[in-house]
Amino acid sequence: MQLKVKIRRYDPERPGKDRPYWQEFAVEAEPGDRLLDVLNQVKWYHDPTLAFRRSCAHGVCGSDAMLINGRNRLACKTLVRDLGDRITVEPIRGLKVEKDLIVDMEPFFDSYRAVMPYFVNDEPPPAGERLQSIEERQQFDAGTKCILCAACTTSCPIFWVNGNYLGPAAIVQAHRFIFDSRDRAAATRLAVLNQNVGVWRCRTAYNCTEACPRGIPVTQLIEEVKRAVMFQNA
Amino acid sequence: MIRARRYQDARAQARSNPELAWWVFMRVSGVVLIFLVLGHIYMTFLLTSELQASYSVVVNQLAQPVWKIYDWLMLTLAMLHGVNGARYSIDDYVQKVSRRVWTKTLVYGLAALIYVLGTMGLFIISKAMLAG
Amino acid sequence: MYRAREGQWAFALHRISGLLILLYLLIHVVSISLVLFGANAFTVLHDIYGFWLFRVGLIAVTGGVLYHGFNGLRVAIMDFTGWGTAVQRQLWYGVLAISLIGLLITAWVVVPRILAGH
Repeated sequence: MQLKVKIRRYDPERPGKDRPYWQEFAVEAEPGDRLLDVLNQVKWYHDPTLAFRRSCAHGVCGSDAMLINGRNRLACKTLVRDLGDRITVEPIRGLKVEKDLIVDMEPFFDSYRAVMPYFVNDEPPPAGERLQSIEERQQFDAGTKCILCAACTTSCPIFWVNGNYLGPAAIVQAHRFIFDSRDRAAATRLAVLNQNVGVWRCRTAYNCTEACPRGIPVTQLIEEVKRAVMFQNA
Repeated sequence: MIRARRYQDARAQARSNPELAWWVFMRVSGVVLIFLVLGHIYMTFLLTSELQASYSVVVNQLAQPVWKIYDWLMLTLAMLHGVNGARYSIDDYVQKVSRRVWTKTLVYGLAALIYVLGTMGLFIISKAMLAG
Repeated sequence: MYRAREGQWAFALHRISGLLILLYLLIHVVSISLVLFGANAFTVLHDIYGFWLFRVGLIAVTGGVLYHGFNGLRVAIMDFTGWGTAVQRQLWYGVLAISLIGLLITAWVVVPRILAGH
């Protein structure tokens, strides 16, 4: 099928045109092609200066989150037949655009680091493994699916206007360890999240939940963290 | 604002604040306000026409202690709930620090002034005002 | 415009209605407080509010209060129960239905009064 692909371009080094602009490409594609294939076609056969991130191309590395037809999705998990023949592609919002579809992810990862996204347990290791029941494992199962693509954080209407907000992705990562029965640093993480840049900036708009390419119920996890903060301080 | 590379930094920057208390307050006061405000609207806007609320009608009603308490509770909760909601919005949308301080000063100041005016009004009103 | 689903619009409406209700509250308290300054001051403003446009505005305020109140209940349910987030969309349609019905009832009662001028 014949596609019209409108891409939001930006090149800070383009003389006299250092502002974002729209460019349209006519591309031939199969309905079963992924948007990533379409972007590759544009880059390989139409305009090699087009810049975007991609790595594994199979929805696991989390590199190619973009604003596709008005919604945050992974280009490698979105099929052309689900988009129609007019497609608009923009960089994800709320982070500084570096070039075309590439944004500066550093603030996103700063928030990620702020919640200590790693296992903390200073007790002497047991002889065997740190055992966990199926129910205990189930409690934080959803958060383990996160691939840090930033689709959730950059779909959040609060993050768009207030970059200080830690954002859904960081809270999901915190949730993954707070509710891990083997972890011992929940109190510290909850203290980080119990701030006006933490969970209390969440307005439950559910854009994060809709945007997550891994099907994580992000808003529900944030609500669980809010309740954990409340019960911890009660 | 947390901009930490290590968790020690995050820990150093994390401090307790009243956000949790406000979050709970917004929900509790909200539930109480649903009853108070809808009751108020029903009694003053649906049961009777608001045009009937002339000077003597208003003074007669607000001279009774039960309406003083009802209205003052509603005024206090609504002011706190509303101004805190405005604070959330300002924190969300006004990013420049100096402008944020000014906006908050203006909103808090205006609300405080009107709250004092309303409270004074409620407690000063008496039937004696109709004599004149 | 981000093509989001119900949750974003629920939030946007909640915020807009909340700010407008706060604005109305401030004006309303000042108007009623004018009783302190005597019957004349109060009555002058009271007569201005008799203009039909202001009276229609009060119907809108009622609709806004209904939406803000019941969507606030929806938010509280999502915050304090484990099941709220799973049914937030259905809850929101319930909120819209209640607000709309309340708005229609209010209009049903008030519009004839405005037309009759009493």
